[in-house]
Amino acid sequence: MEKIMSVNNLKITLLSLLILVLQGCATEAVVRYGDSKAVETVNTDFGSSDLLQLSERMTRSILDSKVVTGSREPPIITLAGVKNKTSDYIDTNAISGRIRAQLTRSGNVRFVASISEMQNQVDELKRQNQTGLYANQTTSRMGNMTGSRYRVEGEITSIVKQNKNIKDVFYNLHLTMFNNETGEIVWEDDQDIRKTASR
Amino acid sequence: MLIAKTSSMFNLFAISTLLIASPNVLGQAISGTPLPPISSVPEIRPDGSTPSEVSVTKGKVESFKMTLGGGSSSDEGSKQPVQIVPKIPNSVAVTDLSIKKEVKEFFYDEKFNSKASIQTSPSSTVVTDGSTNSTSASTQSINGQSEASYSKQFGTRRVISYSEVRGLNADIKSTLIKAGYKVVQAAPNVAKENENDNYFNVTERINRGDFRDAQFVLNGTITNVEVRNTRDYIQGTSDYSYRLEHSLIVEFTLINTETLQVVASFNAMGTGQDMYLGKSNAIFVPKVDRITRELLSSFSQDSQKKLIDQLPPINKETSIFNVFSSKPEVGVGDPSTLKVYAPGKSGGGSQITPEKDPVVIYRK
Repeated sequence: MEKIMSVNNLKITLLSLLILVLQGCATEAVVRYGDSKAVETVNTDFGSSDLLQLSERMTRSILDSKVVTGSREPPIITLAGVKNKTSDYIDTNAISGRIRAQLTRSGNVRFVASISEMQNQVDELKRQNQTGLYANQTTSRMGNMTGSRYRVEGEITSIVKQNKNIKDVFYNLHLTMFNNETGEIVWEDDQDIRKTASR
Repeated sequence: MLIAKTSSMFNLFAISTLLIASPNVLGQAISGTPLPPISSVPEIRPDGSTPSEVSVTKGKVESFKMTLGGGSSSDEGSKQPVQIVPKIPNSVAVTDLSIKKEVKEFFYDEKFNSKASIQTSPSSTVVTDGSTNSTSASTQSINGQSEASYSKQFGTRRVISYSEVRGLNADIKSTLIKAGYKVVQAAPNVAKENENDNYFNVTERINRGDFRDAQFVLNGTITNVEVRNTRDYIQGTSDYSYRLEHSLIVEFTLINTETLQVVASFNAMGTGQDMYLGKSNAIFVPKVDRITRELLSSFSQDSQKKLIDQLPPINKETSIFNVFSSKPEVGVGDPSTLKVYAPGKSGGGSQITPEKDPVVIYRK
């Protein structure tokens, strides 16, 4: 008899829990638009503020470099990618893409398709030249792609130190610009960010 | 002695032939009277008139000598006159592009010969019948001969051939024509049997008259022809680029045919390619016409540019236009070009009115 009572109690408890959960889900989440450039300090992981800061500083550094200021024509650059050497998950394309967008907008630098964008480029050329669907006069011909004079590549690294109360993270973005013809390093810069979380 | 005899016999034959042909000629020549023209057809001059009088220098035939066998003679009269042909000014003979092809090929030759023969001599029987002894003998001989030979040869051999490639220098000819030169097509350079590098000897061709009366000759020799067929992986994709490329390097030399001076010299290069993008197992069928078109286009551009840079200026005093032009140059001072404009009666438009006393403007 006692066993039956305890089983019933358990059922009632589970049911009440389920009701509570369902009630919680039914509650509408509050959505607000915030300032995309506002400082975000949720935790020490790589965040939007870090992305904005690093990309902006790097862009300024490239635009101030002799490669850009000293050439008559805007130099043609390709992005070879930024490697993630941190323990976090960071989409490094977001960093390189933001830097490229800012540089392109400045009008002082020109970019050509990078390796990661080549598949689409090749597919497009194949479609225009090899399917026989397009008029010869209007097709983008093969063998006329513009080669870049410079190549930008780099890496992002992090050093993490923590104890019971403090967690300290140091992010370092290192970019290098090479002359594709000579292999010479024509520009190089580091940008750092330190984030500390304490209880 | 024998030559002298033959010579005298020939003299007699020649004289007799002359006598048969025209008995009066020899008599007149010897007597010193003027000779009539050999042909009875009157000479017609380019302007249509005929010469009214034929002048023949008087003289006597004192000696008559002929030699046989083409031997050298000390007599000045037997020397052939050297004909000096004047060069056409500002003319260029353009040769087709000479090429030396060298091919290494594998050869394999295997031979086997066998020969066998059997000879049988007829049998001979000797029978002697004597009173006391009787002898009987029989002989027969058979000869057999067998011969076999086997040879095997293999290896690589080098085959060299010399020829000319046509249809590559049409744009160069057009450039020369536009620059004011008269272009002459050179005679083809046909390779002889067992030809060697002397095939490229331009001086010999000049002396041979391959370039007629051209003042210059633009000689082209193909120094390098390359065909590249490649398949390369395109990084960042799953595709390959298949490429067929033809390239050509030609050495040009512009030589003055009179002085043999090299007036201009340059190397021109042309490349043409066809590409295909596809997966690793794609079948690439190149468009040869596209490759040829690109090759010709780039080769023409390069050669034209270099030729124009080094081309000697036209000698206008002896320009072909002045030599062949019968029409005098119209310029300042020519009354036929003078037009006098006077205001029209009904206002507005102008009319050309003939002047009674034409105004003549003289050159300075």
